[in-house]
Amino acid sequence: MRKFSIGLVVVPLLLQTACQSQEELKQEKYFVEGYQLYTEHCANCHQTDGKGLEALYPPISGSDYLKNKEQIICLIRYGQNEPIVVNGRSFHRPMPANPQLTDIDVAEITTFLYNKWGGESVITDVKEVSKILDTCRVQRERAKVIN
Amino acid sequence: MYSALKNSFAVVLLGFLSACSSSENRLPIMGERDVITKEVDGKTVTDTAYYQIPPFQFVNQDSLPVSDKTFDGKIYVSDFFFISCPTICPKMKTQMKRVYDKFKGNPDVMILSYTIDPVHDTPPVLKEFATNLGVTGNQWQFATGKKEDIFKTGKSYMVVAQEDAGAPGGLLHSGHFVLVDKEKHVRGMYDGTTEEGADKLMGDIDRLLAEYKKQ
Ligand code: HEC
Repeated sequence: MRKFSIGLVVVPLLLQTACQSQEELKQEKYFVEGYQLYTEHCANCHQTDGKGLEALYPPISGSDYLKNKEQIICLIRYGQNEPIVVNGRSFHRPMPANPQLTDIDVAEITTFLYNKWGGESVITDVKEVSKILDTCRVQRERAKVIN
Repeated sequence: MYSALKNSFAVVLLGFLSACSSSENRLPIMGERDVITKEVDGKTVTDTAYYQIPPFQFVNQDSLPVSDKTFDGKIYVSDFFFISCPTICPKMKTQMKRVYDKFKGNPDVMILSYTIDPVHDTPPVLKEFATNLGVTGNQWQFATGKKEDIFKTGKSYMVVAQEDAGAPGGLLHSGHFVLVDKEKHVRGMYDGTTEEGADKLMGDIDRLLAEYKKQ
């Protein structure tokens, strides 16, 4: 009898954690892999704590530029040459492109940035990222033709 | 007899201990050394000549000359970098900035960063870079000049600086920080791309400063 009642409590608990983990696992995978990619490709300039380096490399932690999410997704892949203003301070050094990063890499890095420093708690899915990357690739090609 | 023995033993031990601790406190002198024999008062004595950084002459971020003379009577840390290098240079400059902040205003300590991309990294470009990094005054010198001369100087610090099509930015250089003492002897080499490397360097600068204080 006693055994039975414990089983009643344990089984639903197990079920619940199993259900959560599907979503949670995906988010954790995005975040952890995003963190690793960030460490490898970005932290040398923007620093592990995201605070940037003086007037050379802008901060990501606390950056008001994070509101331009589509631009950020694009600059992770294509780099950034135009001067930008972050928290009222202007930056004008080029950020190198990262053509070697796949769409899923960019999605994971974006998830890491926005979970860590952008106040988000959801993932930025690769489907969404692919669409944005396509759009900015087309825009960039057009810009090239015009110039 | 017994006590005499004990005493001498204690003395030897003491001598041993102090020898040990003094050699532990002194940083090694790196590079090749020559043993020179010379005659002093009719006796032959041997002396060790340690490797020294040879003279050099470049231009700094203020378009003023910078040479080995600039560092006479100073302890200094040197490295090789270039501004547009995307990979290890930002790490090195992050770490060197920590060293700069720690020893800022100390008249015995200087920093010397050589660019290996002099065509792009001209004095005004270096000046702007230094300013953006938060560096003012002349405690941290940025040197530029003829490429061949810089590569040759790199060798004299026992580090690599050369052209390499396979390397990011087309230039290959080591991420080392080199610690040079007031006699221009190399006293340490550190991994300039990590916090641990820079921590070790800052500890060793303190030790080297203490060596000069004792004299
Ligand atoms: C070589 C140094 C360097 C590397 C490596 C680098 N960045 Fe940047 N990043 C910059 C610079 C410089 C700017 C400012 C560009 C400008 O002024 O146009 C910038 C701008 C940004 C911005 C927008 C401004 C802000 O701070 O909010 C974000 C976000 C960003 N980078 C993220 C990344 C990510 C993610 C990576 C890794 C994939 C990365 N960066 C790699 C130098 C770098």
